[in-house]
Amino acid sequence: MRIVATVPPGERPLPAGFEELEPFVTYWAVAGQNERRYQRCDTTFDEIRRFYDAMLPRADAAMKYLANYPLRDMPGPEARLMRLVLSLAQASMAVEIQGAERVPKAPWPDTVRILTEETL
Amino acid sequence: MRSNFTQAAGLDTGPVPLEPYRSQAHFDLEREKIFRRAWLIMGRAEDVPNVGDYIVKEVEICGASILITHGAGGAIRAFHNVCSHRGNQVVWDTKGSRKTMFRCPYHNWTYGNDGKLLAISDEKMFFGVDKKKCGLEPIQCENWDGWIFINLNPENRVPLRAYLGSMGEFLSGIPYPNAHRSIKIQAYLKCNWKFLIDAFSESYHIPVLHSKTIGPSFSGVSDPASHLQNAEFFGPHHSISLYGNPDYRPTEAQLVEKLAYAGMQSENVLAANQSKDTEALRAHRSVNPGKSPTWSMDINEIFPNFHLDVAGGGFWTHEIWPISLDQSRYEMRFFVPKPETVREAFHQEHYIARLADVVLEDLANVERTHKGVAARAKNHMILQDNEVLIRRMMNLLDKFEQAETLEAALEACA
Repeated sequence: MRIVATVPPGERPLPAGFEELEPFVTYWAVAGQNERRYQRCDTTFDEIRRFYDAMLPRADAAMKYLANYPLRDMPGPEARLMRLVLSLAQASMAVEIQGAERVPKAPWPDTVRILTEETL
Repeated sequence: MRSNFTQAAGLDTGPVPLEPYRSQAHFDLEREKIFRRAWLIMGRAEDVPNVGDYIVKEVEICGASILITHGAGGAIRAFHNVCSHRGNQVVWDTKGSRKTMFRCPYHNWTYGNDGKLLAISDEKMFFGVDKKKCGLEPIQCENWDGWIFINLNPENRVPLRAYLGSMGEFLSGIPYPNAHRSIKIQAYLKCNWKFLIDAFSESYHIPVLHSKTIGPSFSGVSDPASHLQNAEFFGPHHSISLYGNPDYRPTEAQLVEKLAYAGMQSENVLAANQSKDTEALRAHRSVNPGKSPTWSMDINEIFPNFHLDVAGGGFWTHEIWPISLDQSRYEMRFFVPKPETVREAFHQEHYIARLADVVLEDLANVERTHKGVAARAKNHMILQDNEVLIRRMMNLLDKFEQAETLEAALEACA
């Protein structure tokens, strides 16, 4: 399984002011909790750390900015920024809790699936 | 003062045989004497909130596909999802709404959501079929406090309320916040179903197996081994209360955790809800029954395969379904509010992400345990007092397997 977030031609990847996060959009701005969890589990600890270090200092500002938009009906750039914020929660499991990309010595990738009633 | 729960449950304290986890004969007995006789959880009434809603659930051990419908007049009914024509499944998806008729996709036999056979396509070529006798096969279905249960024994004479007995009375009236909205964690495991029951029935493992994820919030200076605070036994069902560390705080370095919980006034770090939204839940007489100040959660086990867990931050369930001797389906449902802001969505993403890691720690472990037990290196397990539910479950299974009827099984467990 390879999942990526795509930016339609002519759209900016992220809202103005968040340009430095653009390199992370393709991998981390994916829709769906299970998909974001998959991304966190399917890469290296160093890659997760790189995203975490870039995203953490901007997370609060991003949430303040996104508060002006309806959660379920955001324009493309805002929706991608929101998904980056949500991916930070996933990345923090590796960085702040496990100290590893995944639960150590657990089978991957198919054991656990998160099924949600809506896809954010 | 804690007591000896094992003794209070009337159990002996010796080693417990492992054969029921690895023997096909035991598994066959479990199918006939337990899953074909006991009341089985199907979900919440909120899963089929409106007339025309339906869900389809599998009970693999009995080879059954169950259609549950919400009919006109509010009746929630259960049927075998089996066409009277040649036995195909009538409904091929797992849920839906605004459907008062079901048309079998094989030959267009059409049923009402009350189970009645309404139409047979090309009926004139049949040989005098009495449609009244060819409805979907009904299954006993009852609702207790919003929980839908079925009984697969058409001859069953024990109503759900009698089956739940004093456990039903103990738990009745709990207000369940956000019962209409859940996030599910699903897994198929290569293990006997009882290892999954066991995995979520004791706290002894929490500070060890979950040392990073929830160990720090479920053990602490005043209870480093995460001892049980309370245990109550009700016929074949039971309830335990777990310790929670009142001093738990995220570490300095857990910046995302702090950010995620910044807007939360919650009872515990593992909380889907704000404190104010669980006040009524926490005030219930049987939630934290000892009203301990260092409580984290109650595990309520409804025999044979349903856990209804209640904590200061909300509630969640485990359903554990045997498929074969060494295969099981596991479903955990966290009932969570609908997020309205990015901050709320961020908190929920963090909450579920941690729980998915916790559950994965448990699930990796059950497969390893199954392998160890199936190796037949050991014939017994050694259980301590905080593992009382595991010992009791083995005892209950044995009573059910010996009993001639469900009535007799309940009598034996009283």
